[in-house]
Amino acid sequence: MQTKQLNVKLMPELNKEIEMVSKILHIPKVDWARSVLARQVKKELEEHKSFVALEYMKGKISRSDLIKFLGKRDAEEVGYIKKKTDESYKAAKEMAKKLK
Amino acid sequence: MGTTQIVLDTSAVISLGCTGKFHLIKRIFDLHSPMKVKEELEEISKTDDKIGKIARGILNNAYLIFHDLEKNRKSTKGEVEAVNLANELKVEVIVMDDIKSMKKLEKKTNIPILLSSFVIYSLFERKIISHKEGLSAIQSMKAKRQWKENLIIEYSNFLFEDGKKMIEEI
Repeated sequence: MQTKQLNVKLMPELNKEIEMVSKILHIPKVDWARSVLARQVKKELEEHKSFVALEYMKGKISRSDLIKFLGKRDAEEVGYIKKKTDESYKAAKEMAKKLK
Repeated sequence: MGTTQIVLDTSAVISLGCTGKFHLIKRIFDLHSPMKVKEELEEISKTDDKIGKIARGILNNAYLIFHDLEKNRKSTKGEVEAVNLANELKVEVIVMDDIKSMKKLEKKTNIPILLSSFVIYSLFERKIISHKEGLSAIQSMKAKRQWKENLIIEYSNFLFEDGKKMIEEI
């Protein structure tokens, strides 16, 4: 796999702490940093996806913007979730009305 | 006030179990599930976490009526049996939270398949719980799941809190 390099300057205290963690976990400093970075990037992306999807559901952004950010497949699923949630809300209201 | 017949799959049973409101739900709904859902709940109840405890509580309190299906209607999946049971009993609504299965199973029935938030909205609409209790029940269904699944909760919450006008326009 082709890799890209990212150079990061660390404060000496943080560097010391990372070295300590790497010693405790018996893994090289770089491997530990790479796995932490990967986890955090995934988490951030998930949070942003969720935010954008919710904005679409609230009617604040267009479907084409949603597709731009999430891709067509995820955007379709978000649309389906919105449809089913709307249906659930409406059905509860209508059934309650009928039973009155 | 009459009771409404509904069928639940395992995902819906667990979501609603998280709210701790089954005793109230029983007041307005007759809750049916196939035996496969009971088996899935028994399996979940063996785990020693929050969800396992919820599954044990549901099974011990006999909130649900479990039905044994005929051989040709049985399946290895609780959600498939739930749809088969709903077709057999001709209930009003099928409740499940598994979006992927829902999409596939909609082709196998004419009965509406709705999310478990429908049950909580109904409790509020039929004046069994307050608006505040409804909001808190929806929040309690939020679990550590994928972002798309948690969207159900976030958007359900929005509809319940702010979206009344918006939905009326749909």
